[in-house]
Amino acid sequence: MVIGIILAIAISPAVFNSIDTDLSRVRVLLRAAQNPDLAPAVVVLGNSVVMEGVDTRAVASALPGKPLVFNFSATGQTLVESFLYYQQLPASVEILIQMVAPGSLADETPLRDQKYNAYYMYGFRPTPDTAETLTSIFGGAVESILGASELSQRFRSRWVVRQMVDTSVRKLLRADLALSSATNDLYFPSSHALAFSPDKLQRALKLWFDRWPVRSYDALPQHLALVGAMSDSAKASERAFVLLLPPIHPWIREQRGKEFYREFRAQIAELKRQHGLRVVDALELLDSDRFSDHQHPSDDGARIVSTFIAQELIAQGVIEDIAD
Amino acid sequence: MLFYTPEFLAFSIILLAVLAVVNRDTPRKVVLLLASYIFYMWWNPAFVLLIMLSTGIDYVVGRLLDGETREKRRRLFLVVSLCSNLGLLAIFKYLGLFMESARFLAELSGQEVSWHVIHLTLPVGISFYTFQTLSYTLDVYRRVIPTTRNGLDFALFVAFFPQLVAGPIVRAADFLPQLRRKIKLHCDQRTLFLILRGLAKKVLIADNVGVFADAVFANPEQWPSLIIWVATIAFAVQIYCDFSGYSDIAIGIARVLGFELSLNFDHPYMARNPSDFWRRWHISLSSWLRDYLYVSMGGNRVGRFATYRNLMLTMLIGGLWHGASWNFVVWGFLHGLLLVVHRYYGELRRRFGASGKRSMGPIAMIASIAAMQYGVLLTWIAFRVQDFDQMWVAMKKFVIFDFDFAIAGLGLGGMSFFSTLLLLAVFFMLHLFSWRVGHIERFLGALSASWALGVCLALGCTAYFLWPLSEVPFIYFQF
Repeated sequence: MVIGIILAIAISPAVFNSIDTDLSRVRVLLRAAQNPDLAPAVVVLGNSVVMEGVDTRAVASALPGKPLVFNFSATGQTLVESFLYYQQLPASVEILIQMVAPGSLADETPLRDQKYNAYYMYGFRPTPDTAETLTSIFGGAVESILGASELSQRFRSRWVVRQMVDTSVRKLLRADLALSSATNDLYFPSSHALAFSPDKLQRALKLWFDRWPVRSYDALPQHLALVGAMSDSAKASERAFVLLLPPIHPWIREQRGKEFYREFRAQIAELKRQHGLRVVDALELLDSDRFSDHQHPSDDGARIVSTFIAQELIAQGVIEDIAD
Repeated sequence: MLFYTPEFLAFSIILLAVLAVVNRDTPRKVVLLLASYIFYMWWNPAFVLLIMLSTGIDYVVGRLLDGETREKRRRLFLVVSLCSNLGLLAIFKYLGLFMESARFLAELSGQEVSWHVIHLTLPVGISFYTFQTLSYTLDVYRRVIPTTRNGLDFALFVAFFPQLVAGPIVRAADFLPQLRRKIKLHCDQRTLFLILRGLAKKVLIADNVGVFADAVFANPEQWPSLIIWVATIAFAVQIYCDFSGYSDIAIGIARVLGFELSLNFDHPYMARNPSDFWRRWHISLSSWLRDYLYVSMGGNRVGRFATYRNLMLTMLIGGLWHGASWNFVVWGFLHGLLLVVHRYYGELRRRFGASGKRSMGPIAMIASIAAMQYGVLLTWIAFRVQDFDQMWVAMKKFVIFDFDFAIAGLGLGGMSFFSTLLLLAVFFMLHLFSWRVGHIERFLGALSASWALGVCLALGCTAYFLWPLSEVPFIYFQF
């Protein structure tokens, strides 16, 4: 049995890299970032709202010179996870568009053990700068995750086999979703889900508010500090840094109330003042019929958001700055 | 010290090495007793004094009962033992519950309450070893077994570490005679597979399917009937594999040390009626309750309604034994109800001329198993969900199926829904196989060395990949 366990530990990196899980997109993105043949000028980072809501081909076609724009978002990508990609991006990247939703600054868990394990097993290693920035902001919890040994990471990677079962069965059962696109597409990684029926939408909203009950907005200082550090890091690499405030479903906005979003915008305005960053505010851009569910824009919605981003980049002079 | 931790592995190796060196019986018993106390003290050193106190009281009471013929004095000694053992249990396990309930009732009647509820740390395994020592005193009192004069034997009977914290509850009549024989260390392939089976049940099945049950029962309101059903089945499998896994390991380790412990589970999810279920589930507790509580109250020899009352009281107390929370009493009540209804049904059948025993056809058997397990699953909701409002919601969704399958489209990815279903399917196949054909370790034990090696290799790989990311204590440790 001990030999079996040793054998399993030995083959675990190969197993990890050869099977599909919900985090396979991390592998795709890390490989794309390291690929010398790919030289994007603009990169968009964020969670599934950006995956479903930003078609970077549409963004590129609305920009002068039609630069190469990549969508580096992934399901559940947190601010810290986005920041991990910053060190990996090729020198060609001139504009970084970072999604920041109200939840990103308020109640987001910075980095989950299992998530980082996927990054590690797919070959990511933090540079001293990245590790120091994250450790100085989030302290011991993130430090212990980033500092885990090779053996410990291998040992933790065993979750992948169980996850494979869930991913494979979902692939079989959800033929209606473009799951391959959601994993591999570098432009518009949307699953192109059909719009929810009103009943299903009500259920989804109920689940949403069960998990995140309505309360006043309160950003966490560490998360605000991280956005500042992200902006500084982009500047140090001579990149323009743009915050994208994603579209929120009108029903959720209504439930949360105006004061909630006023406070969120006040925090963003303060960040803008402190760090001189740009903001694309799409919070109220979409009507409810431009969403496929309670969170994610539909394909129509994605077109509107993408065009809006391009227009804002031009209007705010971000593209000109780069051209100069 | 959990059975599957590196500390326990080191503990076992050292213990076996010492026992291999020490050949004579009395020193071996001393070593086993010391090891048992160390095992217990690993969790909380101070509480070993409680075991010693319980041991001392029942040993002395046993000696006092020996040769005492005056019934009044015998009863007095028994009362001393009952009061001291149940008193310890009441203080350490139920004080908080009773104070909380008294406070709730006082506040309900409009009285102002100035005192605070005291919550003491629950000494692990107290319910198990208290029942064990009580059974000794009751058996001596009833003259079922003779008094043991050997204090070392008695102390080892109470504290024997493999079953100390979560059973099986061992009877003195079964264990003490084994201490009078020469203690022989014993290790064969079948025993090793029994231990491995217990480990696999706990780590590979219980801890993995428990993740889904925990996520759903944290807030049953938000899930439709389909998910409540899967979560209830997952919990049923989790608690069975967790507890019977512990029992398998305990029986296996005891066997290695030269002792036989009684069977604690026998395919409970194949039970056809409530009585059958309790002959298969936590057998050492149900037989304890039957022999010392149900029979003592008159059992079924006291008329129909008194029998129903005895059944209900036995199950209510059995429920409360599990934990200091009223949801366990509800669980006991529901099982009591099932037993009463089943008994009444049997009486009706007899009244209308049906024969008492007849063999069942396969369809009738499957139907009776399904009906029984439906009831068992419903009772598990009461066991799992402490909050009464949430328990009611979950039970309602379980009983009144809402045919809402839309949830599948909302995404259950983070909750490992499909891998939970797969593990449940594997469990039920193995459960069915061992019920119809026989326990798997019997077949594994008969394998040739090369096949056994292959099975172990595959088990090692599977264990590695399914080993949970965090340590999960045995559920019954809290009782």
